[in-house]
Amino acid sequence: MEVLQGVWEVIRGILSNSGYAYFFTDGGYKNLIMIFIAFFFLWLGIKKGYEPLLMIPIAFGMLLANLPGANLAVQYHDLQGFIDLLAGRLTDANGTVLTPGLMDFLYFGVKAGIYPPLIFLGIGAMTDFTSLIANPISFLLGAAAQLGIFIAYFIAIALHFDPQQAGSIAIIGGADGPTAIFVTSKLAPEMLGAIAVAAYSYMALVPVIQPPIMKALTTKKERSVVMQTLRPVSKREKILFPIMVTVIVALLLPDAGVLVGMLMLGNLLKESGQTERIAKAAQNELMNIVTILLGLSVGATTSAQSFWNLKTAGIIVLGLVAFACGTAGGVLFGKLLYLVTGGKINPLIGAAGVSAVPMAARVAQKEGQKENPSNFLLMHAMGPNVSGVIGSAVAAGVLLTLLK
Amino acid sequence: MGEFVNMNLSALFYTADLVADSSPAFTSTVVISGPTIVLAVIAVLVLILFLIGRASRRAADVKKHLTQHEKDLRDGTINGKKPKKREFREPAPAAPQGVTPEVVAAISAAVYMLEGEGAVVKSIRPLRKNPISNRNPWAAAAVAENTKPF
Repeated sequence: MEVLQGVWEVIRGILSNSGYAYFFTDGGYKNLIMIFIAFFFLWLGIKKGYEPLLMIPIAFGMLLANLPGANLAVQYHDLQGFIDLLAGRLTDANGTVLTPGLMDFLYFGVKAGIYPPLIFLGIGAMTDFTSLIANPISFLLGAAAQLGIFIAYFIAIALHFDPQQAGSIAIIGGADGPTAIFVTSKLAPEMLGAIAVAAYSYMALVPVIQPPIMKALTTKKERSVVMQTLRPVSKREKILFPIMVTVIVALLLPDAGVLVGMLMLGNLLKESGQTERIAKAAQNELMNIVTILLGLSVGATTSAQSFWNLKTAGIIVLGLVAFACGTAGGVLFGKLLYLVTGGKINPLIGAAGVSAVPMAARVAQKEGQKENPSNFLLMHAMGPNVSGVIGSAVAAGVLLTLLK
Repeated sequence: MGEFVNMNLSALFYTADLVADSSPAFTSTVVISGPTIVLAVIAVLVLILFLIGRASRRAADVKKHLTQHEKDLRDGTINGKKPKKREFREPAPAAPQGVTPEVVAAISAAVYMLEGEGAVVKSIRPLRKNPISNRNPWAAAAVAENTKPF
């Protein structure tokens, strides 16, 4: 009987110290809700194919962060916090000294601004800027599509977000995941998880969000414009382009230098023809490794305490506004170019100025073909699409310069 | 004189200490200067791209004597002249159901490459399969080629 009593006490002790018991404590139900939200994002990534390369690691990081007692949630928000955590100076609400976990070390790469530039290195190595170099006017469409960022900033300030939070929310409008993570980790790291989830969700929803806006802002005649074939681009131009962009942008906006510099380095590795091996490594092995580490550590910041609040709802709504305004800005500038060039530019390619490469360009192609099946806008739309990557990095530099 | 120049150069690069806050003045500063700076930076890049492109084309012309056809391909002209502005025409009739937009795009692209400017795809319809033979048209053509009398 005593033995049975002892066994029962042991089982009770294990259960009372387990994560299951935590769900029944004050506020513990929030972790359970977050776990179900993580299941939802996993379903989106796996079943629906919504940006799976990042959605699945982020969702799994969210799941791990909300398992009570597993010590897998990120426990600091700034570099000093990381140092304090390592030194044993951080404590929880009960006064227990916090110990660093795996995610705390992985998150350091986000906080120190290492992962997003490395992802940009891989993106640069995968990107072909030929369409942009052949038709430099399309560069302006990429700039116009960043208008949504600043409109969202204004609305966020009106909704009483502080300037750094407003800047982090606004950068979602650039439709560039690494840029959004980079800016948020510097300006408002406490919102990183929610902003990353919102940014990647909207990037995956480009084919749903953009077409109604494109149709509403253009006429049938404008959508039917067939653009001239792009001129051939020499290898010399493709080599000079990344060098020139890096020097000009980094000198003007040093805060944008790291993102633009790594993007252009990746592109130069690809175009130079002399560094094929490392260009391949940048776009494959390096990109894949950093994607896993970035996604997992960003997801691990979405603990119930940081995610489950009204501000997250504001992020989701404002992110959509930023995205929609960016699309509208690109299309409206496209209409302006249509008028200025005497009908040579199809305004639909302006919507591709958001940085969701190549999804936004494919949406422009599809919408153009609905009006004229023999119209091939894809390569023309790739120009604004890749310029949007540069444009969002420049916009990020502006926000960091003004708000840091 | 030297002191005067130095003072003015410093003033040129002096930046006011902007404090980020939620005031209307700072918010307006961000909303107006942000897009302006982005557009200005990109405009500078566009200008330089134009200049590099022009210099590159001139260097290529000097280095290698291009035929008129090659120049037309490069510049999008016909015999050195810009093509006439295309009138807006009603688009080709929609392909029947069962023919996906991707198939229409592939066929249209092939026609454009083979026939060039001016060729318009009026309609696309799926070939009716021969109910007698189970072979697809390509296989039937191969059989006919290999079995024709010699």
